[in-house]
Amino acid sequence: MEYEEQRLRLERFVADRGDRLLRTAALLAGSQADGEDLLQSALERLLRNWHRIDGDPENYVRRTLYNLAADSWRRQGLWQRKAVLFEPALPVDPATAVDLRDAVVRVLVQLPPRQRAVLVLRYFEQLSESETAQALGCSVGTVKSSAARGLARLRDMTVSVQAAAAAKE
Amino acid sequence: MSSDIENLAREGMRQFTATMRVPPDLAVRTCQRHRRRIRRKLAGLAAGAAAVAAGAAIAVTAVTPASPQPRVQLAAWTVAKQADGSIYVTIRQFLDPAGLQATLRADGVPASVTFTGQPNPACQPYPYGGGTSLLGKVVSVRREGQWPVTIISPSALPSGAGVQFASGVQGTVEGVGADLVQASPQCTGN
Repeated sequence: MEYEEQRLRLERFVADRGDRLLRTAALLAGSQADGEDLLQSALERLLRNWHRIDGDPENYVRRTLYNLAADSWRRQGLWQRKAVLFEPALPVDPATAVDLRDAVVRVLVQLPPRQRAVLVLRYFEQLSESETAQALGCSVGTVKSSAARGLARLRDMTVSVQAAAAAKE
Repeated sequence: MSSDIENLAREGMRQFTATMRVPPDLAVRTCQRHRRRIRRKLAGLAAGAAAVAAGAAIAVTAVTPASPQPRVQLAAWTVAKQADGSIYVTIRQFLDPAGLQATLRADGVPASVTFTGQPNPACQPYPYGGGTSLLGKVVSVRREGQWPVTIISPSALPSGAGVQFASGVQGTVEGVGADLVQASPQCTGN
């Protein structure tokens, strides 16, 4: 009976918030499949600790997503592995590279963990600098510098893609 | 320029995730995975709930060449020492913890076995030093047939450490906890 209640409660939660959480998880993990794994792990922790959570469980799941993603990157060197997997093949095909989705995600998965998390929280979750700092347990200064570096990488890539497109014309 | 890049980041992430939908069975799969994990954890030793009178049907077997070799086999639990020195413990009912403790000690495992809530006050936690993977090297659980088998590797025990087992309910085992403790004559027998 307890299992049934737990399952129903989780089903309701996932039906309400699952899509949003999956999108964040996918951005943190680099793909939808890895995002689903990450989200599942976070939901498992929710099941384990639900009785102790005050307030909205979504906040707990989000924080767990950031922590698990950061742990995973550190422990398995996932960031480096994915960076290699997602390295754009040369020469760059401008027709493909200018696609926003590809370009942004390609840069995103190559960023170090903190820069990636900062960009996801700041520009996808739309959190303020201080909210981002609080979520990641770092200073506002670190958020600012990580965001600046991440955006600089994105800018560099866009410039090089534009240059490649211009040269082709 | 900066805001253009910020917009690009925003829009790119939005596009990348726009079509993502959580799989309809994710909650169910998560519950199942959670449940399996709990079972494995409890496996330790979890056995069914048949309430058979304590002490009944005790049968001590002779050592036979078959592997695993049951050193002591009771209706409630079996202890079998392997050729490589590891100890296989199968617990069907958590009865006679003192007998199990004595058997393990006789097989060279510094052990304390008690009911939960009645720990040996002489036992002190073993200082892991930051990680608990050590416990997994000393005690592991494998399901063989109907009952989970707890495998103790005495050779993995660091010097000065012993193993503590505890279960909550006499006779009807829902799970047996295991942990490392500091070995001492009062706690683990040596």
